[in-house]
Amino acid sequence: MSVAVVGVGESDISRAAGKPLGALVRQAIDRALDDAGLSAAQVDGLVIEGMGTARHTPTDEVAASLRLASRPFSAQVSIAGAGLVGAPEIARAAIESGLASVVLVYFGIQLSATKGGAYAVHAEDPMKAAFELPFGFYGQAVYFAAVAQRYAFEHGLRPEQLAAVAGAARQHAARTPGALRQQLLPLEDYLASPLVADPLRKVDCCLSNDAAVAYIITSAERARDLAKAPVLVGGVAISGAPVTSAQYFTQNPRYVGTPARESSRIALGQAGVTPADVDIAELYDCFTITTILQLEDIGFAGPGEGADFVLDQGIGPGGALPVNTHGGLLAHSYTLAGNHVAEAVRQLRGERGDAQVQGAEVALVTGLGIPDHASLVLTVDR
Amino acid sequence: MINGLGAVAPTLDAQAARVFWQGINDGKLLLPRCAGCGRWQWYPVESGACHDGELDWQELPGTGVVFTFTVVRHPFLPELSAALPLTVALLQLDGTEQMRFVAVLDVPAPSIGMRVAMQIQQLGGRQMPVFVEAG
Repeated sequence: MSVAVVGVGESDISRAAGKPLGALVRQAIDRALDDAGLSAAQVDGLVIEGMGTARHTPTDEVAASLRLASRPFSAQVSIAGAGLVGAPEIARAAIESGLASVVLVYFGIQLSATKGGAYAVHAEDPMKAAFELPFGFYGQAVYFAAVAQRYAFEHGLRPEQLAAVAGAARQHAARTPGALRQQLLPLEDYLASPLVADPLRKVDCCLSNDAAVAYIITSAERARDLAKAPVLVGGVAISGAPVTSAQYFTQNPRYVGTPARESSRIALGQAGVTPADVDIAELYDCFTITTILQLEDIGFAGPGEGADFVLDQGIGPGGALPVNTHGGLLAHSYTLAGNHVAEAVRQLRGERGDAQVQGAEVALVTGLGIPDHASLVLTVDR
Repeated sequence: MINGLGAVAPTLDAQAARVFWQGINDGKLLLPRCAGCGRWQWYPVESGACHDGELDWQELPGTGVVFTFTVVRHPFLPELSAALPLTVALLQLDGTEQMRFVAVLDVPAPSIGMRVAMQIQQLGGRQMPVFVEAG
């Protein structure tokens, strides 16, 4: 039995929402249900990522808010972006086994109200607090800057190449209503952005915002009876590096890379496609370097050739491979790639107007949640 | 000397943190390997690499090479603002095979592959390991 994504929804996206996170999550869920043409009463399964959601917006609270009379299936899967993109793996298993028929996936984040912002989650780790913070090895940009520096040593990395990733995100965002960073970023503006940790600049870093996202999965059979064209889950997989999350940024045996290599191989294999068949890629882009690493890990570019790919082949509108066609985490919103899932669904439905990638039939979505990584292949219903 | 470093105290909740920082206070670099399999463990999980709870702390010479580094310019940790720009690095220390050690470099022009050696400096009322270019 195959399953399909039948509804996607996002809350209003802002730097500071001025209302509770639960309200943003509920807004995203209501919009996803509306998009699917389903009522809350038809939801009988919930899948959330396993890091913050269980504390901030737990399933019991959301189920009560939706007045779900019965909730036979609830699950947490993986971590952060990996859980949010990998959730269809669990939803599919639940639907195939009869545990649930309509599964809701949701996630919200409110960094405006988080003490210490996005970095704080790492300060809570006792090992990092003992062995990293005293030395100033702190902040995700620092971790990824160190990776980028090693990449530069092994393969070469020029500012123009990082600028190509940041610039493409702005070009896509400029064509996407609601995206937070829509101003174009020519090379001179990129180079004028301050370095935060060499070689990464402020504009190499993702957004910080208040936003929520939700999507709904049901069987492909049921999806075909709904109003909108189904978007099929062709393949989905989660993979993890063989280290703890505390160790990941320093001890990962494959330091220059992500577990995308494993998760994408499995997900693409399930779908019976290769990277060459992928029309659009919505890749977890917490930093510009992360996009380059995944292009190599997945096989869109050869080893060490991702930086050349983004500049020479192009990932912007009309590029060889349109990547993050809404602007991604860099320029659209920071919902840990929940927005990437929503964008892929909209593209495959042909709903994106000026930003529509013509003939898009196969999308690859990825999510990183240290030390895990998820790959999700979505396709039109052929 | 890196003025401003030493402003962030290590959290000593974990047993491993207390052993490591006591070692620094005594002028020694102590790092753990799993007593069961001999693997270097950084950061140690309390239960050990083999989950038998045994860690074997060894003194190391504090020399090695720069695996990667970055110059931090943004005050991600406001307490360390006075120390910016600050060069942080991952080091491959002699004798610890594949393990990477997080360290501060006091080197004007760092590069990957550079040989470095540990000094213990008194900074902000704290004994801090800092790595300089090896002579």
